Amino acid sequence: MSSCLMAMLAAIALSSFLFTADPKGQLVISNFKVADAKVNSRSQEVGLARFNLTADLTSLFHWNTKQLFIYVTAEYNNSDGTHNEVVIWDRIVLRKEDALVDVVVPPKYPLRDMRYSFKKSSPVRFALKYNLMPYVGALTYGEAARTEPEPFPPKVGKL
Amino acid sequence: MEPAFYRGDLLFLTNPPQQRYNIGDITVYKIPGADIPIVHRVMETRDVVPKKSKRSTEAATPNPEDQLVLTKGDNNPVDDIALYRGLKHLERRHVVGKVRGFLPYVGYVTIAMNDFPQLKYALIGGLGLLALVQRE
Repeated sequence: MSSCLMAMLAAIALSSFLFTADPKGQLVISNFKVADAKVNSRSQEVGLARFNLTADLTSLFHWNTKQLFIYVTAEYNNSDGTHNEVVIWDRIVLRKEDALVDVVVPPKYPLRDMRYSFKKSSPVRFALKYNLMPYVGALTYGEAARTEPEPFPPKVGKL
Repeated sequence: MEPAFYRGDLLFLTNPPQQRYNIGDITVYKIPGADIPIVHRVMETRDVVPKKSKRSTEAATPNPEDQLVLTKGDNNPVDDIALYRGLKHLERRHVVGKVRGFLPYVGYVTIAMNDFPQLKYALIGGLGLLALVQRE
């Protein structure tokens, strides 16, 4: 009985490799600013970006999809040369109906740097990525959209 | 890390030493002094470049061992800094592994055996009895 169950689970896990959907969406920056703010009782520069995000990720929902974790990342190098990748927005999608994403993405997690400043940082690229989590089997990752490099804007006052 | 993983789920981990962790990876980490490992997702990676020595002209490349990460539970509104016991970032040596795959409920067998030790003896006894009875 248990070996039969195991074989079935393995078959389901392997079957999800047959679904090779690679959906693409659009990520457009509508507003990107840098301001002074206090985070964790330390005043520093924070980057706040707002996006228009449209993506049809319904093709990722198949019979072995438990949930989809979608997230917007920022990638840049700071003045030390440290390569930084930071999640600035995320969402858990549990139903296929919710996988048709069309949102104005608010700044959810402010972008921060270990130097507390974005001075002399490279331009930043934003990307929409997803992680498909199955009922059983391997986790898979993908990228649905990516913006052009966007230089950090000059600082505008206090938050 | 609900709603993705629940108590009793079996996670398959890898931990290749010379490979950097990517944003979005689900890590299992254990802070020194903490009792239990935590399963949370990587939300920030900082690939710190080693300090350049005066003589070398080559551009320094970041070492995966020096990578700093920050994690967060998918359903949590804030990151894990409060769980790090004073650390600002996780270092690679705190990370036990990366979740690659997963099998639900299997861990409940172990949980049940630990919670009810009688079950363990009953199982061993039952198996022993079967071995005696089912002699070919």
